[in-house]
Amino acid sequence: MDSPLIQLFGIEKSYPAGEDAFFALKGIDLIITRADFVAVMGPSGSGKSTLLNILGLLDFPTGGRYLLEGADVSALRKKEQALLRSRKIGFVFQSFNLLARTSVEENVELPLLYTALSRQERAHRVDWALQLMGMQDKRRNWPSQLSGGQQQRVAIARALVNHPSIILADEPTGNLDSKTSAEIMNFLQKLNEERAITVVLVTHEHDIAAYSKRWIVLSDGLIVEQFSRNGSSEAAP
Amino acid sequence: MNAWMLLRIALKALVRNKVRTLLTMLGIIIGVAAVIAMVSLGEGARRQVQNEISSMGTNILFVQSGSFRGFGVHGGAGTSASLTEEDYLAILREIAAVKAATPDVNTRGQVVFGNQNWNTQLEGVNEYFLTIRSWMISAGENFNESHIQNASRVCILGKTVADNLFQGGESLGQSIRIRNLPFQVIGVLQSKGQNAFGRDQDDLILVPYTTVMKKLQQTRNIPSILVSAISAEAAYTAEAEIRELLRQRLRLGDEEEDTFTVRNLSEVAGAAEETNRIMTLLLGSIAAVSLLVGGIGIMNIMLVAVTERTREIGLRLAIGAHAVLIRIQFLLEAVVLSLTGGAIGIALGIGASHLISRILQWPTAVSPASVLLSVLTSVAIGIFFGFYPAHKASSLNPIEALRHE
Repeated sequence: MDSPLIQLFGIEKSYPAGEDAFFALKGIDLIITRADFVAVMGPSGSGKSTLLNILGLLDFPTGGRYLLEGADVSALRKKEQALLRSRKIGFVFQSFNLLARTSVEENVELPLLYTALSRQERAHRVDWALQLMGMQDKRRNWPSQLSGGQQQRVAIARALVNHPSIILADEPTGNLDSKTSAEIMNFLQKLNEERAITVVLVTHEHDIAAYSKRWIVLSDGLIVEQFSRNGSSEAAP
Repeated sequence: MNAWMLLRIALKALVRNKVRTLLTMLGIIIGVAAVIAMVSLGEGARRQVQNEISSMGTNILFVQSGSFRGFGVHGGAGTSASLTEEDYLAILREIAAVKAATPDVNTRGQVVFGNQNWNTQLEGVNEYFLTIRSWMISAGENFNESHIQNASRVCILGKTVADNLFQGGESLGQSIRIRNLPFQVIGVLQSKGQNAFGRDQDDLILVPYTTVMKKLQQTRNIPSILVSAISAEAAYTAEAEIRELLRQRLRLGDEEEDTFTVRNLSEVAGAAEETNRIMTLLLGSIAAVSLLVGGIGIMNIMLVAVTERTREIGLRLAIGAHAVLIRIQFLLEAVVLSLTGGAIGIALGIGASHLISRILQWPTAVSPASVLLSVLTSVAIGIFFGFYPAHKASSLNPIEALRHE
């Protein structure tokens, strides 16, 4: 059997704080399988973002093991981390982070510039991602000419363009109204169901979390509750 | 990921901020243009002085009587300090390093032809004068030996004098009156234009020196002698030997100062060369300061860019760039900025130096060395002043960079 996409064993993250250390994560065990849709919830300061950054290889755990597709990535060098980020991970941010005065298609192409793909292959992938997000008719526009929802769709297209194993979305609807939020969540749900793309979502809004298949609740650096759509609920170990 | 792609990324980042890019380059543009224009001005002046000195003839020594003496005290009565024709002949006869020599007895006088008249310099010389000064005759002929021996009343006109007296008419063979004595025109000099001090070098008349001494001035003194040595190196030997010979002939004691001067033109040339070199250096270093300021401008803007583009850097890190690539990108941006600025600066500098020479009639010469130097400087500035911002950008923490407001 295929190994699960992500396995976390006793992941800890601490920061030096005077004599002691401050623990943002105090031992997280988590398994995320392919085509899963996980919402990470919890009050602010509970460690949600730290967890997402470690999953996204933007940050190192200070303890525990992280296996991505069966390979231990907890102690990789920065350059190797960057390579994995470019191949396996797509980020979606609360504030879109599109480059200003840069066309939609160039924004989407951006991650491909850090790979060895040919020009035709890049163009092909950009077409595909824009098509998927229904943004191909805006490809020559600048981000400032788009609505918030359209900008986030471009950002999702940018996250998809590398064919990542997983999409990590940090409060993707935090800057959007409820109607547009629903539209974006529908897109993510569709990608998850129709294309079997794994999504990990950080949010503190319950109606946004409702789009996912599994829920994890963090508090004080620990998983305090996790349950899934089929009703099974389990307390933290 | 290849170099071309990184360059494309850097270029796109520059094009995204056209105004900022242009303003940043302005410092380098002005700096490089200033260096090139300034150095070309200095170089032009240097070459003009050089030309002028070599047009006075090469290997030339000036021997002048009546040296500068403290308190104006000259030798006692009967020990005349002035040079005479015998001294001139002795120099010719006894010094091996001398190729040719001519007395130069000059005075001014009114010249008349028909109803035209003109006041000009009368230069009493011999037949070697033209060779020594490397002057050319455009019409007619030079003096010959018998003109000199017989103190003939013949003359060679400078272009300005010929133009003023004859108003474009034929001057050769005509008789003009110099201080009321009739002289036959046997030649006209080629025009030499103005010298560096604006003096018209064509406003003179050459006359045999014997004629000036015997018929125009009634003098035995020769105020100066022009000597040409057999080579540039021999000029120094000749200088020493002439001094020794004249001291003997003028019976100067060991403790007495020279009552004449011997000047070597290559010393004059050397001094002029040195002055101009210092001038060029001065102009160049003033311009170099502006180049430095331009470089600091680039660093300033790049540092601002790092702060302003923190989120962009965070994003690039998140989507797969690593620190080295970010550093190269910022470095490339700085190098492209300074190189483009340098190229525009070179074009402007060359343009400016042409403009200066056309409008101000000031000779300029763009030296390849100054172009090369400013290209190298602008690349060095790009790398040097780009490095710190690039390093700063690449060491940003992606998480913090993405959260930056």
